[in-house]
Amino acid sequence: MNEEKTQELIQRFKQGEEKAFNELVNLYKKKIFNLVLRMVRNKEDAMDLTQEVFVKVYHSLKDFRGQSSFSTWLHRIAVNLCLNFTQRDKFRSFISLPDLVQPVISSSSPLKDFEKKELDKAIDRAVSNLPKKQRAVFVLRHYQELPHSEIAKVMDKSEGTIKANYFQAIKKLKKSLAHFVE
Amino acid sequence: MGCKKIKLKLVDYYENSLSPEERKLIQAHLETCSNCQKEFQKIKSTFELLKTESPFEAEELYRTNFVSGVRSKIDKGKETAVEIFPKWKIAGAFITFLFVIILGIFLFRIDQKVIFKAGEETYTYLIPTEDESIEKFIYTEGYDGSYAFLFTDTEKKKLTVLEEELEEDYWERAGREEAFRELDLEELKNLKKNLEKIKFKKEIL
Repeated sequence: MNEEKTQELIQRFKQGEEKAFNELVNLYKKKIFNLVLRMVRNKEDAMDLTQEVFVKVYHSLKDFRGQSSFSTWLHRIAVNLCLNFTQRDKFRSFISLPDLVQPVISSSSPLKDFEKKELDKAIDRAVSNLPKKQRAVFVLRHYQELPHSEIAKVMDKSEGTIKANYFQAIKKLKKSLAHFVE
Repeated sequence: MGCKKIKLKLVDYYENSLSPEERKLIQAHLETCSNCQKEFQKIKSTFELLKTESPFEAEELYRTNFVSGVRSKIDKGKETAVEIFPKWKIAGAFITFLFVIILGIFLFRIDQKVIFKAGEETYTYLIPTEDESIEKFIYTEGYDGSYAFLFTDTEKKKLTVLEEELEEDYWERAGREEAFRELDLEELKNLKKNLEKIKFKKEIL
């Protein structure tokens, strides 16, 4: 994300330009939606929660002093909302993400498409079965491609704790996906 | 470095996040140990498999007017705050909140307890006092008291199991107290099961 552009938008918003907030939302909405979707695995909830994230940002942005980067701060709000949400609604009926959102599959063979979808489902199921903190760390590392040090800041934990959670997550995924690997 | 320690570092090795010295050490070990090589191949294949997952198009973000949705929630929130929370209610809630915080700090000081939630159940983890080692006192319980582990200095075996379950090196990096709080309900149940096996063996003997 363009840090300079972000800072400029934050300044403009703090000076009272409401339109700058809309631009900020447009700049980060896709990244945050993808994070939330991977965490809660439900399209409608993800849409709703992503909007909640930005509502929270709107109310807190004037007090944002920039001790951490905006991106870290934004990710922290999103992850905390998702963790609270999964705690509340943790045992929703299981519908795999590939069934809910149309994945981008480009293949000419129907059989390959079918196999690909099955694999996507297996990966989704394995990720969904991770304990929520491990899932959060895995999503931030694997899908959002954040370094461990950044995840530690987002989740307000030590880097050691993040690495431990990530290691546990990979160990569990290796076990769940063993059938496809061997 | 033995195989056990090497295996704990294979994820970092794959991600290239080790120091050059550690990397060399692992590399040299992998060249001679087929067992660790196999383990590394499994980790590598898992990562490669995860990379094949199809990306998702966030089409909803563009089909609907996302920003308008955020804006209407902001406006709705403002209205609701005025309607539902008149000033005297906010003041009352603030005083209650302060009271709860003060009470919480008071209780925490007395019992040195950390209360945390894992799934549906609340666990209480008693922090040992400074002169007590953690080996002496690790205790958790569910609200029904069904998950309780108590360690004494004589129960070294239990501690070993605990450490193994917590993946020694990795959890120790996080610190045992922190690691313990990171466990979820399933992991706590497994831990309890393994600890109970030891107790069972003792009774037979």
